[in-house]
Amino acid sequence: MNIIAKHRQLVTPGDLVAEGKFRAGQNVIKLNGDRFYATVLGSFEIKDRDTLSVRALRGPYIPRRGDKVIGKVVDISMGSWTVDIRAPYEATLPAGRFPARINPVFDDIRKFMGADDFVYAEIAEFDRARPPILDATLNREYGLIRQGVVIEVEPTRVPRIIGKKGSMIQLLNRELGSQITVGQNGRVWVRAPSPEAVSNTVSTIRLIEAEAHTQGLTSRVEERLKTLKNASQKVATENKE
Amino acid sequence: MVEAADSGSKPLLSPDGIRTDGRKIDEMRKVKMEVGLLKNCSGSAYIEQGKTKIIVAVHGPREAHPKHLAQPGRAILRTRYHMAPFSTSDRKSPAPSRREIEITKVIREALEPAVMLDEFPKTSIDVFIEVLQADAGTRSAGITAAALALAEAGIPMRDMVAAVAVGKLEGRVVMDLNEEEDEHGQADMPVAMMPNVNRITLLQLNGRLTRAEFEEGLSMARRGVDQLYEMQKQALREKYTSSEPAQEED
Repeated sequence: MNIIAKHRQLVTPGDLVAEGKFRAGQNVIKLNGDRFYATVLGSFEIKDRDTLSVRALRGPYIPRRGDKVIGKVVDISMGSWTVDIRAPYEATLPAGRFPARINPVFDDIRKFMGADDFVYAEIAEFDRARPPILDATLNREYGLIRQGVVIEVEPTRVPRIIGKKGSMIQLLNRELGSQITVGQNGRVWVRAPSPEAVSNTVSTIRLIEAEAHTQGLTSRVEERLKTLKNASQKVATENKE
Repeated sequence: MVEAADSGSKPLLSPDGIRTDGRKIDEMRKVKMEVGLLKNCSGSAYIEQGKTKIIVAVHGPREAHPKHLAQPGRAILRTRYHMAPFSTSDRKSPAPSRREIEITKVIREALEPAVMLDEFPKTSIDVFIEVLQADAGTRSAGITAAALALAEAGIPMRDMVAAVAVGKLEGRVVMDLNEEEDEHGQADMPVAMMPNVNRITLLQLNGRLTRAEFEEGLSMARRGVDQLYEMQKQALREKYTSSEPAQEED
């Protein structure tokens, strides 16, 4: 029982992380007997005392059932939309799973959503044997995105943008007056009361993305929000004068 | 000392074991590696090994096109080794030559055992290896850089792959040939390895080696691969540690 890598240490593929009786979790493999190696670039973690895993720094988005994603319509066929969800597989959103009364025989589904439109939906089915199926009827917030800005971030850094139980999103929403929706696939939908608020929100999300693997991120984000707030107040008072 | 077979008056190795570019027999050329320099791909890497300069871009895993190539249980790995028209002193025709098609194949086979292809069924992972400047050892440097780019793309691998060529000059086994040595030397043997798994994924030999020379060459290649392997890991770590303070400024 010998753990070689430290908790949260940056490891690269092929790095020996531990030797002995452990279990290989995500992105860790067992080779050469009881030796455990990292398979991706990321930070090393020990969970449940004996499960070794590596949280990838970069990598593709792999859909999972129940994930809330922001997709982009790439193609339209008779009864469904083909949606890019930034995964290796293109998703399908059937007309019947779109939150509107559509009769696929009479209606042209283009009326509801066209190419390059963004849609917020949930992965209803996916098992790697068939392409993912989306559903936009399971929650009232799902559907066509009509306003705001959609930006793309590294899918592996989504958890840091959301924060523990949504703490980071709540912090941004509270301090910047914006409304942020984060898709698990690395697209972020930003709505904010003013263009400045949008750009402040986007730049703060970029900061979180760039420093997702560092510690003490929340305090740095708080600090940044404070300076942004002061700057905007200064502008406001100057305008009054 | 054996007379140089055909290189005429100028020996490739001096009697005290110094080569034409001043290196010792077991000394690699100067190597520089960098990752993440391209944006329109999943991962990228750049390598300089002496005067050899190569850039690699990785795309995917993405849907395999044409569709019939897709494998139901795993991803397919596609490679393209290509030399830029300006990479040699005489213009190289940009069309893939017989030699490039062969190198494409051996590089793919050198990387395939490392990449965990079964994680992404029905997709393709595409590796583009573009030689910007050729000065021997391009297939080995290409493999080293391709493994780096795959790692930067976040594609899971059993181990990194690193490669180096060893050769024979004036009857002595030497590390990492340059163009002149490759052209006039007695043998050239590129070797790619996965060091942790202790597996050779590419082994070619152009020329003749005795069994003893082969053994010596292989262990020399192992030492070279170990050096490159460390540099690969260093290049990956550097990208995500040293660049942080700079990003904090904006």
